[in-house]
Amino acid sequence: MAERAGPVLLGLIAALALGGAFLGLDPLTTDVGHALAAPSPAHPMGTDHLGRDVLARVIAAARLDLGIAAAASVAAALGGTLAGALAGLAGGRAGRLAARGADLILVFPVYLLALVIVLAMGNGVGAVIVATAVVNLPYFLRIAAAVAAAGRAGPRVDAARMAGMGRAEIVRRVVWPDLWPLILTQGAVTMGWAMLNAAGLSFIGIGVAPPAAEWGIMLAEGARHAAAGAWWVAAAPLGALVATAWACHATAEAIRARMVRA
Amino acid sequence: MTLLMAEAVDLRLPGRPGAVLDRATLAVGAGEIVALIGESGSGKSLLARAASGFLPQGARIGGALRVCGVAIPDAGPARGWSTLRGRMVAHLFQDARRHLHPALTIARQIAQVAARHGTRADLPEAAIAAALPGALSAGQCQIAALALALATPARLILADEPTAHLDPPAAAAVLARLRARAAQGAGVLLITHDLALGLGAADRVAVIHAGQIVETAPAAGWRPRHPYAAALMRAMPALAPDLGALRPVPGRMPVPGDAGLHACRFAPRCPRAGAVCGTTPPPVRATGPGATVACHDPEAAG
Repeated sequence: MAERAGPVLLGLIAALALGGAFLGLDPLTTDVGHALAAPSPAHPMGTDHLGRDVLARVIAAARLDLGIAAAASVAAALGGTLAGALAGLAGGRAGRLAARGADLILVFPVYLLALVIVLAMGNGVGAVIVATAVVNLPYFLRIAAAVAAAGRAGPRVDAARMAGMGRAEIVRRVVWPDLWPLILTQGAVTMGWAMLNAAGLSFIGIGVAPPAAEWGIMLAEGARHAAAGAWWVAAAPLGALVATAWACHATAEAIRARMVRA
Repeated sequence: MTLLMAEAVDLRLPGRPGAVLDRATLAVGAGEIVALIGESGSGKSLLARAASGFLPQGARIGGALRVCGVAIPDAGPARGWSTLRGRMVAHLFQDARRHLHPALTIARQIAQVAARHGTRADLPEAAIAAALPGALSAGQCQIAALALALATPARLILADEPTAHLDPPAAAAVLARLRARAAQGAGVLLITHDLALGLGAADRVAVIHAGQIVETAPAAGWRPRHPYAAALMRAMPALAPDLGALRPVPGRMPVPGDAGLHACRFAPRCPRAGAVCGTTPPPVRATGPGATVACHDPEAAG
């Protein structure tokens, strides 16, 4: 059960993100007359300080937040895996250089580095994706380099050579079956972190700009009204963030348990 | 045809002052199983690894080593190991599990090898074929590794302790498969520390002590002539008439790569050793058809 809950929840959230546009919800129209209305049948999650429907905004934001997280994760996975695999297979000085390069990124606090990149590139969805991809790339690189390095020597490589395999075939038949489950696992973990990272950047006012519906922006706006008793404005995006982050990590754990063989 | 031919092979490893194989001479012909028998650390596996190119970096091969007619110098065969491995030579490594891919089922791994060589592979029993290596016992991994090696068209099979973790019926099945392959014209080098197994499974036996091959002989009706081979025979529970007749081999085997070893490395342990044994390498004498002994003073025949 627990093994299925993560992927199922992530699937539901993704379906909501993709299908939300067809639900006829309106995340942008303001109705100041009904600002900060408590949850009711008309507005199941209440309205925010401009009278916008919080549920509509949470669902609309799912597409943006998951989209950023997915794009950044895929970019980090592709770039990191390719660079890491090449470094691991090359070994020697080139391999060490790539690993130290990855370490150079890793020594910075992830959030701070992403912040600097967004500031340098200018606000916008593209900048958030690039920044998030860059800070997550070293993890993939280190994993791929370690697995690929094991494809240069060792008993299993000896056995593959003994079967007559050349280098390309060893990469395909020895390294790849080891590598892809790890990359998929790390990818799911990264989805969660990337989403929190993107929301975090928007929360402090850089990255995605209002009035776009985005969980970090909604959380920042909602936090201002929570003290006045309008808890729902912040609670909805917070719940969405927590649920999605948990779903990503539970999915990663499920992938690891099923596919990764030590 | 002689598939493995070692003529006075000296093998030196970096950082070791002495030769780890000292004038080793051994031949494995088509259609026969040759058992290479010796204690742990005697250099059995190194001889096989020399023949398949898995020696440590910097190893130097003296004498003449030929695999399927191809000369093997230090740097490997002139046209590369890929011309031999898989096509001509298969190597069943010790510790089979570490040489299997942990993420692929046995059937998948065998299918890959069979596909790349265009052979038709025999799968082991379904319980093994469908499993990942992590779910198999050490013995089952050995059965899987054997199936993997036999999925290649290799004519020379280097089998390093292929039955070490198997119960007697499973071991007999493994030996039967090796025998069947030999009957199709393959040559098998069966490496074992078990003299009884070697005598039972092989056509010929070769006894190695501290990197020196001391005796070779047909397995049937073998009466050891070399004092070490005779001592091994008396130390084997399976071969002794009763437990009271068991005699451990005295002393400890010298480490093959050490400096300052006796010319005959068995001399310090040998009850028949004389002064000449420490200084002059033992002559290799033919004692019968396909039988040799390397000793200054071999035991009497019969």
